[in-house]
Amino acid sequence: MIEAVKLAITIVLLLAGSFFLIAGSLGIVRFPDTYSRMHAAGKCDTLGLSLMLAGFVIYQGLDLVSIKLILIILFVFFTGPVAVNAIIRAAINSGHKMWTVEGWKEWKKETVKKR
Amino acid sequence: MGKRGFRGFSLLISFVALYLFWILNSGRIELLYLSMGVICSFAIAYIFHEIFVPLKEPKVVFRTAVRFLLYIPWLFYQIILANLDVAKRVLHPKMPIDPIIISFPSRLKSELSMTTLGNSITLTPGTITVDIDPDGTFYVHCLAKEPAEFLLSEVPCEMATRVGYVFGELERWKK
Repeated sequence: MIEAVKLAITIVLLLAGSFFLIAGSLGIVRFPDTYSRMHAAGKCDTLGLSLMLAGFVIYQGLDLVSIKLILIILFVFFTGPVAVNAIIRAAINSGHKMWTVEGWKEWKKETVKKR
Repeated sequence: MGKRGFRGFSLLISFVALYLFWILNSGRIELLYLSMGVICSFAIAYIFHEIFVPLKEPKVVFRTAVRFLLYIPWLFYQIILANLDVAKRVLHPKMPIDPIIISFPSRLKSELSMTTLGNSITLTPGTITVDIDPDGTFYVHCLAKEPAEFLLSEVPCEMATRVGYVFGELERWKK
């Protein structure tokens, strides 16, 4: 009984993880510019990967391997946003244009009003 | 307790954390591996303890740790919302996006709290941190209008207040 419940939770987590990974990959293809692509790439990958690893943790039960998997989840959560931020900053600094509803625009920090 | 005491506390906590990490990763409890772990983790703790555990009162360090652990569930809930929102926008046939870059003041002071807020913003609904000014102004790329309003509705916004509370810089978030 417990085995079956464990397996069911694992399957649900793996399916949810792969759904988010697929959504993220589709987003990379569909979105118009670097910045909005990073929304899809950064967020969906972080959650998709950690859901799949959580599925492995539940399948494995609590031992040394699953503790290592939990550590990987933690590190993904810390490093994922940093990588996204690095790419976005590189794009901003090299003057990459941004897609908006009105058309392509260049963003400069100095033009933004401080509140 | 003076500066020396803080240093000893910081060294002790980082050593214990590193040694636990060593044991969990090696999974062996023979004397050779245990003693190698002691040497390595003491050397690393001696060099880097100031970065790992700031030289502050133990009470403040524990308070920050507990508040940070309480902050994680809320952040995780926000991350799931973020992912559903982005997935919805990706899979919607018309792709309802309206990208915009906004700026808002956060009233945070230390680098650590600004880093935490920047990472949290990148992980939550349709927003990515582009840049942070030393005075605490954040520049955020938003995928659509609704996530932007989440950050602009109040000064400082809910997430900044929560992060500031974790590091003891702002009052607790009420509502």
